Amino acid sequence: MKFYINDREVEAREGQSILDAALEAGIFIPHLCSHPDLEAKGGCRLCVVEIQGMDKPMPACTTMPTEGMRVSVNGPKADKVRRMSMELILATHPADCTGCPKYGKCELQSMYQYMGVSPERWRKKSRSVANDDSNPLIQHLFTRCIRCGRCIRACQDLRGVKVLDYIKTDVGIRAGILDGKSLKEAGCRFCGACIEVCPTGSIVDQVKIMKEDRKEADNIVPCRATCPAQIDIPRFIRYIKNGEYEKASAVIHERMPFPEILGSVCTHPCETECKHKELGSSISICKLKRAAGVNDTCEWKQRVRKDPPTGKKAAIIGGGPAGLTAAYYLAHKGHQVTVFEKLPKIGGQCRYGIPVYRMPDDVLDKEFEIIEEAGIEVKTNTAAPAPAELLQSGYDTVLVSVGTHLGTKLPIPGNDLKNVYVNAEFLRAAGMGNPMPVNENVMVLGGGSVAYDCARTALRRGAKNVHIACLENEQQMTASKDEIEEGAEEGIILHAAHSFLRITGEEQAEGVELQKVERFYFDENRRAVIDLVPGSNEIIPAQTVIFAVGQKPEDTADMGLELTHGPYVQADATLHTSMDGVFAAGDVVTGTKTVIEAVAAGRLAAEQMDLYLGGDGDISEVLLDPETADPYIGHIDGFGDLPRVEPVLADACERAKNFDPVEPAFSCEQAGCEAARCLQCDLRLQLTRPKLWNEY
Amino acid sequence: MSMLERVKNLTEKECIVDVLRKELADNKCKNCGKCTFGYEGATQLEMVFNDMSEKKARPGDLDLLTDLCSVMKEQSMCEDGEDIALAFLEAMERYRKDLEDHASKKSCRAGVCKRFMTYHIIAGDCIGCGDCIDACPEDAILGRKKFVHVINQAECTQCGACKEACDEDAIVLAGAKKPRCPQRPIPCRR
Repeated sequence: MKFYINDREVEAREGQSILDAALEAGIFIPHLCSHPDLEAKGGCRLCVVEIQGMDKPMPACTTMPTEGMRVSVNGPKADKVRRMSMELILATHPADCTGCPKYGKCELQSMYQYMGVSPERWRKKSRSVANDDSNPLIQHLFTRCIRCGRCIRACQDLRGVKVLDYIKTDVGIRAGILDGKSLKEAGCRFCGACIEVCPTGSIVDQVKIMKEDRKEADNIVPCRATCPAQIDIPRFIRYIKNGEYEKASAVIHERMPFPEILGSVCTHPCETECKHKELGSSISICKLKRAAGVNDTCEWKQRVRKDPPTGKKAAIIGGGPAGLTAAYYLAHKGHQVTVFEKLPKIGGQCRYGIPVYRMPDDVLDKEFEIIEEAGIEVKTNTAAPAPAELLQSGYDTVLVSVGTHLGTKLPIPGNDLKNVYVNAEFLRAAGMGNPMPVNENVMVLGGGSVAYDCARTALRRGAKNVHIACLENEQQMTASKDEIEEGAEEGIILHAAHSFLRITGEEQAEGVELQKVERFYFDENRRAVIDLVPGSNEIIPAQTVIFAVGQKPEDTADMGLELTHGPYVQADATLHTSMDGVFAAGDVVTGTKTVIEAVAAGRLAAEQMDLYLGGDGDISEVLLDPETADPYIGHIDGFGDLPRVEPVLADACERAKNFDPVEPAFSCEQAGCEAARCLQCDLRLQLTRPKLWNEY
Repeated sequence: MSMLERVKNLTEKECIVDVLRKELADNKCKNCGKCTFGYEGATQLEMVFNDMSEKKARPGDLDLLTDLCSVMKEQSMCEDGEDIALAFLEAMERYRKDLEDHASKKSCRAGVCKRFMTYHIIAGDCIGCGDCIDACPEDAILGRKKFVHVINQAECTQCGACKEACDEDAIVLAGAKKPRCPQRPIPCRR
């Protein structure tokens, strides 16, 4: 349908208001209470226009054009109404724009600057309300409310949460929560739609959750931004909530090939950033990922990238998470990939570092099927030739991803006694099925995850008394809270904040002398400073001692590559090493990190190697058609306080006797409950952000 | 009764400013807030009418409100805002003089608006005791012993302390009709 604005012909679609059509045609009409995603109400009257044949100016947001209608935006009558309206709004709005969190992004500010009006001729009055800072996610500064009702329409109609409404107070009407309730008490779902649509600084994100060094969209959905592999977390969780596991799994696979493995062992930095954590407890993202992996029907496999063969060959040295991820995506890009693995099976530390009670072999085998399916040649029990040799023998590019498989000992007396082991060797032997013998009393030295893996493995191997000693106190330890707790349940005796002075014994280890640490920190030169408590020495009997104080790469000295910090391979930000065509990724570059970081590094390596091989470096895969999530999330009483679903672990006494899995995956019911707690922060990004006038 | 009807049915004893001011204080528009002209318009009207009744009107207030109501009657989202605007415009027609008298801080014809009321000492009843002079916080009362005391209206803040203090009931509060009083203290007759 055609009509005219300021004598210009404008096309309007069915159901489009004069305002919508004008804005779409690039004709600016001031407006404030209307929002592209909310039903227009016409309350503010800033958008009034003069229409030929009508005696009074009409709001453009609620008036539908008719064929041939002639509209004038800036006629004297419309202008008078518009200016008066803005003056009236400003007369009761605080004038301290510079002190407002929305300064520079405020629609009201933008609009009055455009119109050039001030409220001088009217009575001025501030409807002061105390700022409500009590919620950790959403701040209410309702002194700045202009009653446009956008937050209310968003909360009531768009989201169906029905928490915000017009409320009457001593100083007037404003948006707020009925009956003086807090957001949590009222059943707020913390979707943030109110924040997003508020044109002024009345409803804003809490300052502390908006990190300055992070993009705004990343601050809004911090879990996804924090995941090293950038898994679309809210999206897959939403599918789990709806019971659509195949879709959830597809979403995860778009960014990462091993959901069940990571779901079992990930350190989940995403959960630390989860906004629900601020309300009480974060969403159990990691365990939900595992549930998605467990219930995967692999339909996504139909849609994986299968680029035509490029004729290029890539060699991957080391079949751990970094190498396998790189191999997987390189193969999808049409390259011919060979993985060299020194050990009998692929998996790296996932298989030979992490004990089977945490990471069962069958899960690894199941998820590694895709490596074979991708047509990747895997040479196990095979030490790879040096990178230069591989390049000479016909490979176009090489990735070094050998990890850190060499355990280290600390230089303390007695470290060479019999029955003094190192972490990597001890765990690898257990993983390969020819475990190293343990005695009745075992001492593990170190405070990280690997120390717990060693201690709990020793326990399962029949040790009676298993101790862990570490310099760090319990808060500083790098082992997760869950690990420390589960270990304690199984009977592991923790000596946190203890220094180990020496291992006693003549030929064979007999004990470890510990001394209490008063203070342990790193000085300005990053040197460890240890203050000991005098006279607190004690000797703990231990006939087996295991060092779990770090690991480093093995055999990198012979690779002909530039190294750094000793045995680590030097690689730049794009993972190039000192040798052209040779890349390095994972722990061998970064030192011992996490599986998810290895996967992320594997992705980056695949991108960079593809570029090197003449590809476009795009390894992205679309395994599921994008769907617009249902914005109507509805009301749930007590939503903010819904408890985190915790799996029931195997009985501590029983599980310490065998290598059966400690933690079962979520049942679908548990997963559904947990997924339903998600705030769905990403829904907010579906909302249209209105343009300021200077953006037209 | 709508505000418009209230204006049309004003009695002799009522003050248009006082009636509209009270109507506005608890008006539907003030309890709704969904449209700018209804809510902010009513807020401005109320504030100006309060000022008028308090002798604090500013020059041009009546023109400002006329301007406001001419827009408010056609740009409010429902009849409630329209009713307020029409009531004011009707009042401007019917009671222009009363409104102007308030706006110019002259008088409240009906003697309802407190700030327009004045205290007076009835010469025949005053015994010149000085109690009211002592009670006045503003030192606004002239006189001495055995002389009729006189209130200086320019200084008086209508606090009423003098009336409280007077044992002779010689002090009265007057609306539009003022009693005849001496301009200066004169010897008491009593």
